[in-house]
Formats: sequence, structure tokens, C-alpha cells
Amino acid sequence: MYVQNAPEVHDVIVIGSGAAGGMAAWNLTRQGVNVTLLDAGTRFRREDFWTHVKPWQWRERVERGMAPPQIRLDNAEQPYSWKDPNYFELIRVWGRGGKTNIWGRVALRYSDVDFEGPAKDGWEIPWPIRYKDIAPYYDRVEQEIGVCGGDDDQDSLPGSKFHLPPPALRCGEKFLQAAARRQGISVVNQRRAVVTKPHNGHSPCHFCGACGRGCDVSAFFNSTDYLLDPAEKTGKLKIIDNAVVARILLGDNGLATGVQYFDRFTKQERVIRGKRIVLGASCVDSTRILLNSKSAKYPTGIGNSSGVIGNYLCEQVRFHMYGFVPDLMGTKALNDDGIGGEHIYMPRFNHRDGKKRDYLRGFGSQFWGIGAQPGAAYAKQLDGFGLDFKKAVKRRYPALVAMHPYGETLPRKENRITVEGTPVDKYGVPTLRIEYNIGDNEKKMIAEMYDMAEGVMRAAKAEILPFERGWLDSFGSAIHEHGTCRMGEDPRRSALNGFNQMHDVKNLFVVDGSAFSTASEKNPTLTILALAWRSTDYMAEEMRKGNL
Amino acid sequence: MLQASATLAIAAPAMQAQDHAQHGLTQIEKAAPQVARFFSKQEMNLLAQLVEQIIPRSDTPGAADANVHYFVDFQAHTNRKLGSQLKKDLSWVRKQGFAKAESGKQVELLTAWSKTKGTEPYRIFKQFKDLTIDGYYGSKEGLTQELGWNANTFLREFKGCTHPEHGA
Repeated sequence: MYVQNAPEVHDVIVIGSGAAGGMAAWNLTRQGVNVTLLDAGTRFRREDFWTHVKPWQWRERVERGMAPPQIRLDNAEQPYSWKDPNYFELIRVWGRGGKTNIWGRVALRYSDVDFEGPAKDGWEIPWPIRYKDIAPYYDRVEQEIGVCGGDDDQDSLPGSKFHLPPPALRCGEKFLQAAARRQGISVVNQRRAVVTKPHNGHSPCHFCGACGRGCDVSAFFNSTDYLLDPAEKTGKLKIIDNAVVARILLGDNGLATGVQYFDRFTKQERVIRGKRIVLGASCVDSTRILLNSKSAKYPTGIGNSSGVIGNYLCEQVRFHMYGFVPDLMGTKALNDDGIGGEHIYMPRFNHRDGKKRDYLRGFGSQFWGIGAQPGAAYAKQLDGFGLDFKKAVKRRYPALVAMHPYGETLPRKENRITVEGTPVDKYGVPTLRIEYNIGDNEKKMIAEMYDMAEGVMRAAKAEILPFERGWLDSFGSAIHEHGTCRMGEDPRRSALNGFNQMHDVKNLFVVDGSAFSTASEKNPTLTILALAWRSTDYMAEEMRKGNL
Repeated sequence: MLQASATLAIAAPAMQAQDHAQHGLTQIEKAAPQVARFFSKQEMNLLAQLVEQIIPRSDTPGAADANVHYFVDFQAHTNRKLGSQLKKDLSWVRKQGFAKAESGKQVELLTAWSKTKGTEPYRIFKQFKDLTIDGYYGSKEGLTQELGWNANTFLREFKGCTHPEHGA
């Protein structure tokens, strides 16, 4: 096959256009560095989003054969496999902005409770950085993209300096916050990357609640409008669409020399050369690229002399609990859309009470889905039918409350992504396989998570919908994959240094969730943005010094 | 191919947001004439009776008023496995004399099926009940008239809980 192999050597090639790749491209181009970005898809047309389409209109459109824009990657296009019986749900977005088009917008800083966890308890490697290293970058990210929240720091949730105004709380949220307080647990304003007033030229939220379909006015952070558009205005950014990266190429000098990719639709193979490469294709796809980048020097994947790449996959454990607050039953339904998703958050607290746990690490809780929803799925769990049933559904409708606790999963070597012996994709490149399970540590933590959630619900006097204690949502469903190309001080036990730079291959940086040493219980995007900014600051400085 | 530099107009943000909301409103489609695509006329009749008994008309519309039987028909049309199951189940419901029974007798039948968890009649009851819930509480009648939902719209300000007794 003829391979198009352009002679140009690019200054920096960035792979991926989501939070990680977008931040890398933005921060490098504004410092005068030329960037060529490879995106596995194209731009999503914001005007096509089905944002202001009511549920019944949605149905009418579907019945006429219309469909909303396909934002999530259809896994049939790029298959993956898992080790039975442990299904791993993998949600990917190929196209401009990646998952930031439809992300949950929860923007939580890690604290030293998170960064110091492994150093304190000795489970796996310590983080090479602490809160003080990343705090200035959190400050900059929050000022740049706009994060709303309260002035209510906790030791496990620091840094509320730059918040935009938080949205008012819904009735059900007030009840759960008060109920948690009675249980001795703090519930604070949630911190979300939603622009609640005009910020840096971005339109404010108009509280339509349809964020999951993509925002029609870009009122929440997404890499396309917030990072890549400004980067393009510098004239320093070139974006190559539909470039599905297969491998990173290694030169005789031990450095990365370029990238092999395939056109998503024509399947034409291409190679571009680059002096430095930043990989930010999201944890799982980045790992697949690294593992497939085999050479004589690195037979198990580029930069993998430690053997850690692909291992230590850690997602999070989570479940959902629903109930109805008696005080709100039978009240008039309000417009509870707000900024879409919850306005409150329960930061980790289990390190504070001095009680020794029989497990390591911790959990927090989210609260989306409180109040009037565009549907009443809970009715399926109420008995009966007929007029009494109809009344029972209506009575409970404004009173719905929900908790969604998230717990940390420990990094374990056997939780891994591999490409050995897997089927190849339509470009002839090995697909990925995920082996994943939780252990006793998570099971013990989950027991306390259930006790906590039930305790808060009972303190709110809620009628709790039936639940099965110990039930977990699918592995992967939090969409918080981490750890498969982790950073650390020790090159024998980690792939990257504290600046996301490979120990082995100095001109290759990996800036997405795969770089995390641990998963924490928190949503990772804000930390990915801060780490990618810090990493590319370091990279630009090394370039200026002539070291890179 | 290089992506051309694209910019999104970001001036006068509130105005723009309102424009978008208005744009959404002008796109409200007229309700399509209801046509059954999967079930026969006889099956549709039975289905309409069934969903109406599950969520009947009160001072607000019932499930048949909200065309939930057409919703179920479309589910069957797009999921043939579900469709053939539902056909069998409707035939079973008919054999119980449901279609020709008085309303009171229909309620008796449904009550009996709803109280036998773990049995085939319960499975059939629960299946139609769940479909009715999805259909009714996703319809304009069910959401806005029955539940009072008034959201997915443009607001200049989000007030949160406005109940004075809950600290608003």
C-alpha cells in the first residue's frame, strides 16, 4: 500500500482534541509553538444539537426517521473486548472536543488527601506531585474556563478562590444537605464548569437542562470553543480531521519521530513526522496506541521498559439510590433544570472522624436527578395501576431525591488493557481488551457507601425506592478511566515523570487520565486540564532551553 | 484535510441564548397523524383499553388520550423481538376475555395479574405497565398536564426552591 508520507517535520504533534489534547494545543500555541493536532473525527455542529427539543417532540422526530447528532462513538466502528464475566462499559467520543461535548461538568480539585493517599497507606506507587505543585494550575484553569461553586472549602476539596456564582439549590437538594448535616456529613455547593454569568466571551447558561445533548450556546467548558478556537486564532494550530492514530514511531536515537494514522473513512494510511508528541486520546485509546507502538527497543509498546503501561487501570465504583421526601410530596412541580445535574456535592469525609476503616481511600457523592425530571421512571417501582397509581406517581413527582456515591478503586496490576491476540480493527490495527475487577477493598468501601446513603436518606425521612445492597453500576460507567500510563518518581514502576513526560522517551508526553497514579473518588477532568497545562508549560520551557 | 478556522459568535450572550431558545420554539413540530405501523387494528384497540386501565383519564388525560398505544406500537415496530413478544402477550390478554369485558371486570383481571409476582400473568402485566409509564410520562399530556413539568426552556434566572416553607 502506498503510504502518504509528508516530508514536513512538525514542531509538536498533539493526538486528541478533548480536555487533554485541547489544553496542550491551546497552551503551546499561545506560547508561539506550532502545533499539528490529530483528531479522530470532525467538528460537531452545535446548531444541530437537539437541545431545545421536548421529550414528546423528540419522539415525533425519531418516528419520522430523524436522529440527533451521533456524538458517542459507535463501538461497532471501533470494537473492543473484555474478559467475561466482567463487562467494561467504554464510552468514547471521536471528534472535536471529545467527551467535553457531553461531559458531566463536575470540576473538583484533588487535594492532598488524594495526592498523599498512596504515600500514606503504601498501596502502589506514590504520586510524584502534591497539591502545591498543581494548585497554581487549578487557579489558571478555573479562571480561564469558568467554574461555578461556593465558598465552602474542605480539606478534601480546596481552592474556591475563583468560582463564578453557584446556582440556587433545588428543594430536594436542601433536604438532603440538611439531612447529611444531621449525620455529621458536609454537603457543599457543587463545582461545575458551567458559566453562570458571562465569562471570557462565553455565553451564560440559560438553565434549559439539556446539557447531555451538547450545549447550543457553549455555556459549559468544552475543548472546541474554549481552547481550540482560540488556539486556531493564533495561526499556530493545524487540525487534521478524521485521523485515527494507530502508532507512535520510534527513531534510532530513542526518541519518537512521528505518528502513523489512518483516515477514518478512506482508510488511507499516513505518517507524519514530529519533533515532539503529546498524547491525549483519552486513557483507554491512548493506552491502545502506546501498546501497539512496538519496536525492537520497546517490544511491549513505546516507553514501556517498566512494563507498567496497560496495567493498573482504575475506574471508580458507584451506585444510585432514589427516594421521596415527604415534605415535598404533593407540592407543585417546579422547573428544576438549573444547570443540569446536581448543584450540591458531598466531598470525601471518611478520613476525618478518626475511626479506623477496614479499607483504604474514600468516597464522595453526587446528587443529579433531584426534583422534576422529564419522565417518571420511578413509577415502575411503585405497585399497582389505575387512578390510585396515577395519584401516587404524581404525588411523588416533585419529591424525588437521588444520591450517587462514587468510590475510589485501587490500582491493581491485573486490571489491565492489552492488545495481544485481539482481533484487528478495519485498519488492520489490534483492538483493545480490558480485564477488570474490583477487590475486597472496594467491597468493604461499598458497604460503608450504602450505609452512608441510606443514613442520609433516612435522616431526610425519605421513602427509599427498593434497592439491592451491594449493587454497582457497570464498570466503566463513571467514564473515569485512569492509571494505565502512570506518573511516578521511580522509572521502574512508572512510565511518566511528574510533568507527564515519558521516562524512556523524552519527547513523548501523555497528558490524559492514563497519567494519574491513582483514581481518587473525584471526577478527573479539572485535574487533567491542570496537569496538561503544567506539562506543556514544562515542555515549552524545555524547548526554549534547547533541551527538547 | 485542514479544518478551516471556525468561530462561534459569542457577543451579547444573553440575547444569543434567548435566540436559541426561540429557535427551538419555532421548531415545534405539529403532531404527526397517528398511524399504527406494527399492530393490527384489533390489537391497537385492545392495547388502547389496556393502557387506559393502567393510567386512566381523571381530571387530566389518560394513557389512551395521550396515544400511548401508538407509542407502544412504535417500540414494537423498531424492536421486532419485543414486537413479536407483545403480539403473543396481547393474544393471551384477549383470551382472558379482556377486550370484551366491562371496565370493572378488566380491573379485576389486571388486579389478579398484578398480585402474582413471579408468574407469567404478572410478567405480561408488568411489561405493559412499564411501557405505559414510559409512554405516558414522556408524552405532552402526561408530563405537562398531569405532572406539571414545565422545563427544558430558556430562563434568565434559576431561582431553585421557591417554597417559602423550605427556606426560599
